[in-house]
Amino acid sequence: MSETVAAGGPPEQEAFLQLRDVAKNLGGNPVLAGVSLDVFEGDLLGLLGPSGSGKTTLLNIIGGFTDLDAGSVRIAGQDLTALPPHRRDIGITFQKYALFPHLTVFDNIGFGLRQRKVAAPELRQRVGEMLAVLGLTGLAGRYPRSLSGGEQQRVALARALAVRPRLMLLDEPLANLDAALRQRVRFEIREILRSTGVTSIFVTHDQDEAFALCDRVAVLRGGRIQQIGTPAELIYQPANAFVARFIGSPNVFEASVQHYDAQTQSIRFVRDRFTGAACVRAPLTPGTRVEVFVRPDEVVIARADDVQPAKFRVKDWVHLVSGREAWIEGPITLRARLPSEATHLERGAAVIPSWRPERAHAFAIEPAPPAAATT
Amino acid sequence: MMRVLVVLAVVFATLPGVIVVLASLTAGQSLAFPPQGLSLRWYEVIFADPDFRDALLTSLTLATITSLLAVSLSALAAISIVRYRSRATALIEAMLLSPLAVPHIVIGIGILQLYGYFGLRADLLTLTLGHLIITIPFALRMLITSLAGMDRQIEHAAASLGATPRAILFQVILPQMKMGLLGAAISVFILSFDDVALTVFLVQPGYTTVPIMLFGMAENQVLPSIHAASVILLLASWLGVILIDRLIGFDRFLFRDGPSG
Ligand SMILES: Nc1ncnc2c1ncn2[C@@H]1O[C@H](COP(=O)(O)OP(=O)(O)OP(=O)(O)O)[C@@H](O)[C@H]1O
Ligand SMILES: [Mg+2]
Repeated sequence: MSETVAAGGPPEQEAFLQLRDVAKNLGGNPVLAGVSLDVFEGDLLGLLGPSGSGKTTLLNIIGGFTDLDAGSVRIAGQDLTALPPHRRDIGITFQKYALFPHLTVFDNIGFGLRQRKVAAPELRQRVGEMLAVLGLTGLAGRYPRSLSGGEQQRVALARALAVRPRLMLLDEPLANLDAALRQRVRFEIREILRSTGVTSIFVTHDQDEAFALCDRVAVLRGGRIQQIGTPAELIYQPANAFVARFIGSPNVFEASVQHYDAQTQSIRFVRDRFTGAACVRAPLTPGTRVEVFVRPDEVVIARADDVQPAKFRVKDWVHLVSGREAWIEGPITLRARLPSEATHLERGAAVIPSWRPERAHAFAIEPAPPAAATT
Repeated sequence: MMRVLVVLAVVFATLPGVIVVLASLTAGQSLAFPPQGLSLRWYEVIFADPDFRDALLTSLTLATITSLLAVSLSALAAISIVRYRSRATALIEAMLLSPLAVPHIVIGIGILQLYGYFGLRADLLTLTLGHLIITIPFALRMLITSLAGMDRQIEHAAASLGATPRAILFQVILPQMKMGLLGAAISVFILSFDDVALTVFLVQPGYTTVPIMLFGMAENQVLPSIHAASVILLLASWLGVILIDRLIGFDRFLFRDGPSG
């Protein structure tokens, strides 16, 4: 487990936050199993996973609110297991903000400084700074329940950052904002975290958000880390079928291996009489059932000329902000995203789809995993 | 139709009080409604009675102390029961709530036996202990409800900001329970101030409470002074509510735009 993890960061540097084989059972179910994770100083790591994959549980373990059953959590070389939450110096924003309802915005943000016995003038100055940075200055005297979701979210962030923690954990900070606000706040958060230089883990179940914000992203599923890497690595070199399916809403279809080429680490597959190429992570013997993943923007469609047997026909066009998407139907149904200026192919036109082999990924279909590991 | 019913209900609920107040103002010699002429003479009579003044003082002191003690103890118990659920706290909860299942008269007889066995006399301590037994279950139930509705992550947030468990208790948990604490304190005050079924076993001549004294008066001399005494009981319980209200800062809490529990 550890080797795959360390691959994401510079190996000579000691990671600031180190999780090793963290395991947690809740109500008899393994919620986290063997989670190992390195976060380097100043990094913004995305923790991406579907609902129920254990993201919040992992943050609770790092924060000290949940005991771990096995494994260890270290910050800057120090084991945190015996350290109570209030001595960990970890800032957290919670999924539901968890602001103090009985305190004003000013006192919410000043709460941590007050615990640290910061003198009144300095406290006022530092809270004032946070208010200014997060655009909350006019709201200092208001109570949380009179704030909008976006404002509450910023107060939560200001409150956590005001004490300048050594690590920030952000649990889906944008989940409760509407789409337009989410885009804006996303970059505000990135700027703020960058400018403070604080090491952070940003939890989300939204892949776009993780990719837009984070240098590295860990994909969690059913309490296990599936892959850690840069957005490009997750897109172009998915470690397994789950990551391939989760990232970029690809075309997915089943096929069987016709030929494996060890030199290019790719296969030719066949599905009904349609053959194509895809890269693989491990050698596969001919006849193996595989699942093939290819994202719509990697699929090129060309009008079939008279020589080629046409196996596909254009079924429909969908207009998207980023261009147009063609649905083509043949032995399988595929989506192909085309730039808007591309040639128009009328409905019913005979076409041939193709893609660069390294842009399609095939994984052997494994026998159904044990119930606990499914999500 | 609905409105008529509401009006009837309000009239029915307030009528006894109104009648007592009016009857207490009579200038006549006997219990009569409507009153014959208006005067405050029966208030003079009742206040001239040193036994009544003693009983009033006892009632007020008893209800105030019971209220403060019952609510403090219940708050601590509620926090450990809700936040540190274990077999031990479940047992404590069951024990503290158990008096709810026993009629006050039965509890009274039990305590009387116990006090008799240890040779304890009626005084503020023994009365307060008795009242705590019957009021803690109510306060505890109210406070458990108020705590159960609170978001635990708010406490986690406080801890992540460096708040010690003690700071979390005083700066985060208790302030959020304010409405619950106030409600519990007022309920306990009224329960204690009103109680007859239990208290009747705990008092003795020379040391009694107003409700018990009123019972005695109703048996012996049926004079309008009993009405005056009842009105004083009513006013005193309002006074208690207002006092508690000030103590916990109910109004300040409501009229800022702070949360209302
Ligand atoms: N106290 C508990 N007892 C039993 N199961 C629990 C408990 N807390 C969490 N779980 C289970 O653990 C799993 C992971 O929960 P967690 O809250 O960590 O998920 P998450 O990834 O944060 O999901 P979301 O995106 O919905 O917030 C879920 O299946 C959940 O039902
Ligand atoms: Mg969660």
